[in-house]
Amino acid sequence: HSPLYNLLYSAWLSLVPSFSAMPSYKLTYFPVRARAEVARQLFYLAGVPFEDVRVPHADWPALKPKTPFGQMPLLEVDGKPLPQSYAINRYLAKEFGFAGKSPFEAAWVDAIADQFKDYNIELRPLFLVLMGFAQGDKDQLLKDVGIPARDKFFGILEKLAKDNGNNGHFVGSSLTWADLLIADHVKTVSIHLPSFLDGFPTVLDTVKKIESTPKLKEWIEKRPDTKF
Amino acid sequence: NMKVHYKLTYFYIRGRGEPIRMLFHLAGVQFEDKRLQLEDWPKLKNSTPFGSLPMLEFDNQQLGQSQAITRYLATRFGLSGRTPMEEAQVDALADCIVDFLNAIDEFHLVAVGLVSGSKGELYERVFTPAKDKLLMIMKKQLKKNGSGWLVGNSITSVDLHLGCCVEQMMDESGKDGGEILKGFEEIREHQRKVFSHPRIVPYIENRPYSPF
Repeated sequence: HSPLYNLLYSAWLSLVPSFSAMPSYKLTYFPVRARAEVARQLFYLAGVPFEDVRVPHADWPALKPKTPFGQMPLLEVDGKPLPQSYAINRYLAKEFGFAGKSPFEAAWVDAIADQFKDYNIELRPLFLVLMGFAQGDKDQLLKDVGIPARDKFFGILEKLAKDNGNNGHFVGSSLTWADLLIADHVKTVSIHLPSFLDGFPTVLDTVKKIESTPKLKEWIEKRPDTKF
Repeated sequence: NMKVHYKLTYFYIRGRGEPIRMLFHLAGVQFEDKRLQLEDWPKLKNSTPFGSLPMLEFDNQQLGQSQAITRYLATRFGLSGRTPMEEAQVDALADCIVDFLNAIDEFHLVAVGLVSGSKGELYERVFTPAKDKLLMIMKKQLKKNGSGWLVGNSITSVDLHLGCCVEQMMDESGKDGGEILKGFEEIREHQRKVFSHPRIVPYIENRPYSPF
């Protein structure tokens, strides 16, 4: 290129610094919300463009060996891979300002997310039957597995929300990825077990407030509709 | 730096508390290493954030969940990775270890005597595939990273985590490294490296004994 071209090009680049500094992001997952939804929401809330790759189940076996851990979701930042949904969520939340306003707050966000992970593991046998991935007695599983897990975890959340002054967040006073994680789960639960969380009104109120965040409301309306 | 009084409460075992204890020793930071006998747990349970241990207390605040505690302290101590991407890689690898521990839960409960069952059958069906999956990921990462540590050029919290996990694998299965780490020479070398760190050696030599 001519020196004049290079000069004009650098002048143009200097006018749009954020354009040249922004990494390229690609998020790869199945065509469901589940473990990629929080990351998608974080991009949308931050107004950061990303490639939202949704892999049909039949195409996954061919892709699997090419991923670091043989699992999805997978984030790529300028082509550099990052697996594990919570590592992805936390990385993006820190970049975009949704990880809590202090180190201790960020640690509590992590702690709630990990408690949610534990709850999901307890719930798994019921979840598999509800989603149609396994056969089983739904009512027995609800009684033996679902209700105890729910009461333990949502009992914690109800208290956290109340202690936080029912301000629309589970930790602190700003939107965090823990808020998004819980809200998306409550959405899924409301589809499959409508009255399951009626005993936790402060939690439900908090989720309503989270979902009314303007950009999030917009995303929820435009995203592909999925059962989970 | 303000002198913070840290108190870590966990049971009188290594389990999910040991990597955190090692982190304090690695960083050279003093802490109260509270080890609870099982019979004292019911009294304490309701005053913990999530009804579980480990729990970290300092400055009249409490924090639960082992990974949240590890990450908070490792970040304070400069042992969590040197860039945002390295920090995220440390998180991702630690989450794989947690996934492994959750996957072997059925085996773990029998191995530590909390539940009765066929340990041999669970070792083959539950433990071995999960162990191979985790160690394959770790081996791949060690080879890719090339420094002898899992992430970056220096020791991080996830190196401690893997070292403790490998020790736990041997203790709970009753098998030695020869069987558990067969085909995973890089992991054997990594564990040796972690456990021979000058700040870890005195801790290991002096810590109370526990079977797991």
